[in-house]
Amino acid sequence: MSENKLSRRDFLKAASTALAASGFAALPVGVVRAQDEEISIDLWGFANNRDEWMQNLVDEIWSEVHPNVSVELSLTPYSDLWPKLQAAFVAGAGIPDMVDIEISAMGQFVREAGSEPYAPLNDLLGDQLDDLSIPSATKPWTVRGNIYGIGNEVNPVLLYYRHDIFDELGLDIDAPGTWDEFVNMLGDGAMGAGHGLFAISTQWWGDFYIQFHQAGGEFFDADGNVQLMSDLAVEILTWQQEQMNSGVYVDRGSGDAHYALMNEEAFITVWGAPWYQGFMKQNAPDLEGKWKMRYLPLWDENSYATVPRGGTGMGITTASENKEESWEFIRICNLTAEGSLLAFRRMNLFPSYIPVWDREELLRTDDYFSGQKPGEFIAEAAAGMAEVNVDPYWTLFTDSVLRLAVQPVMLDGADPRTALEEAIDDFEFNK
Amino acid sequence: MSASILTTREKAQHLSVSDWWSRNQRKVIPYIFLAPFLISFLVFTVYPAGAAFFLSFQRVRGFISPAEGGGVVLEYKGLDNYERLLTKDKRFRTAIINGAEFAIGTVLIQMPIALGMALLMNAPHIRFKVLARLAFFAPYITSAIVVGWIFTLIFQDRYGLLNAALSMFGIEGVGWLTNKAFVMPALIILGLWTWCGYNSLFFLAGLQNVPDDLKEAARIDGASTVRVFWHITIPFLRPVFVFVVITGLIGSFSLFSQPYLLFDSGAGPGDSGLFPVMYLFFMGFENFRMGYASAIGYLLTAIILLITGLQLLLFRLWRV
Repeated sequence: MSENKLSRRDFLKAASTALAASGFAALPVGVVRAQDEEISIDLWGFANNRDEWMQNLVDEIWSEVHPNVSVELSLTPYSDLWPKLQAAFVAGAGIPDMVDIEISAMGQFVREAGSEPYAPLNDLLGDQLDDLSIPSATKPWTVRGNIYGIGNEVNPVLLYYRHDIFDELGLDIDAPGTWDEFVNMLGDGAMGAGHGLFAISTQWWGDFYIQFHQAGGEFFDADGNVQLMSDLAVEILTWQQEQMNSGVYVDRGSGDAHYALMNEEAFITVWGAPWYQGFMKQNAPDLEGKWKMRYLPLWDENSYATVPRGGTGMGITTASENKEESWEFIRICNLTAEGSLLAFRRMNLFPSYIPVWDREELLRTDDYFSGQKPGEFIAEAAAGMAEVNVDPYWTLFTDSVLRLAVQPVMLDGADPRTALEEAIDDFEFNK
Repeated sequence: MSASILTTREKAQHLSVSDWWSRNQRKVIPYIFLAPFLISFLVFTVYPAGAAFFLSFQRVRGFISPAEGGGVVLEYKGLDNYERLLTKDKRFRTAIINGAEFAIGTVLIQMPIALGMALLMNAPHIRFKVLARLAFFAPYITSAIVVGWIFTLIFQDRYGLLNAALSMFGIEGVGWLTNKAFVMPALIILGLWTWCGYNSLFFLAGLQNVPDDLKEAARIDGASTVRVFWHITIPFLRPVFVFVVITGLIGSFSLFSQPYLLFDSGAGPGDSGLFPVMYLFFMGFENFRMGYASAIGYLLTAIILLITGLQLLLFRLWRV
């Protein structure tokens, strides 16, 4: 009988355990409870900065909350990761629990409905979807209505400009409201001083897509039908070709050459998503205080304020035997204030988790951008951002667009309409 | 008769393992030594080659869940992949033409240069021969990644070393990697830098095997240096020419790392830097068209075999 009585010591022990457990539950980052069983989950990624962020998160947050669940982060060079992943999927063995899915490497794995190697996250996300900036956080990883990845950064394209040069030339960079006004009001002044007004890539499909998408165009509709062949696409590509031929636009170069051109003032405006700001600081540090940012000029009253560019989402493989733990890791990384703010601190990327958007640290001034607050621009631009319809054949399509439309038009003076038709034919042939 | 059978059975039963081993070990041991290679060859070469051949008649539709054993969903396409490659695929045709242009460019320019370098290294009064051989061989053993990166800087149109050098002579620079007319020359320059020194070592080995007494006899008979070189040295170098041409050809069609790096994981403007193996990689690993990529691999093998066969025939005719 006495054995069934609760001694004071036992009571204190139980009470302290219950108290600890309730405190544990109060933590926003603790859903999967610490179990006795030791579990290991792994993630394959390719980006050093994301790896560092996640490693910090494991050390500072995860290991406190889930001491029994270890997280193995594996870093593979970008171009090697996808063949490696593909080999694992084909073999049906050695598949990681989670993958850092770069936006361009999404489609090839989800071509056929029913044989996707990634698990849909829709049910796991549930109402938490409302806390995310959809165009950046889930839309690029959404195929056939299934969300296969969560991106942690908001990435609206903004226009960066050399305010010192514009001031010197007496040009008002804030005056143009449309792209036509942008080139008409500023182009001659910039060229007269030996600068290109704007830098655009001839080696990438994306700079065409940004303006096309902003104007309301799309590569695919929600059902996967090609939408490129339109008067709008011809108009945009023709317009870009004209700017290139007149010298208002200059080739932005790639890699180190791009930043050499930037330092040499070959162009005085350039666009980019927020992650591009980090590259500017890293590769053109001497230009600190000379840059400012503004929203993109518009095409007309129907155009979007901006479009998203790039991004990496965390996904779970269908082969994972630890989906619950994997989701918990993804959730803490992307759907908690702790995880998303840590990402901002480590990578300077504005989080896609909306509840933290008013945090003071996100809205700090940036000396590189002459005391502006990039966070304010990003948060406001995100509200007017277009959504992208990602298709399983996206990479194949963009490859055709680059080879047969952008390059021939921008480099060889090809007719835009004919070039676009050839790009679509090529895509349909290869699909 | 039955007694005789019993006796045989009894003998067989008593034939111990050691007896068998002592009788057969001379036959078996070579296979044991060869086994590690043979097993790895079967697993990593024969099996994938067979699987790729099988795949070349299929279209890969998606993945099978690991819970169901893993693998890929296949759709049998017969000869469709091959037919498409041979009759419709413009990119494959471009890749083959690029490979052929590169092969002609590098091999034709490379051979005289490599032979010249070998003659220099073989000359009796040249000093620092060992150092020269080391320097000539260095590009070949330098990582393709490093070579690609260095040549990206050399060929860069605005800040590249090559255009800077040309400007010193008043020649306007060109877009080596952005203008499709100059992409192939740029790749050939890279190829020459990489393989000239390497091939010169084969020519050097060939030159050192030319019998001195033959050359001396020819000279005594009044042959000039040029005639000795043309009628004695060159015919003796025939096997080296065969080797250099065939490996050059195979290397040209298999070119991957250098253009892939130069064009930032692409194929250059207008596919001017696209080579067959790159196209295979793009199709198989970026677009997940494994069946089509396998067909590219087999068709490429057939093309290389055909051209190599023709070359061997030509060299055989040369001997006659």
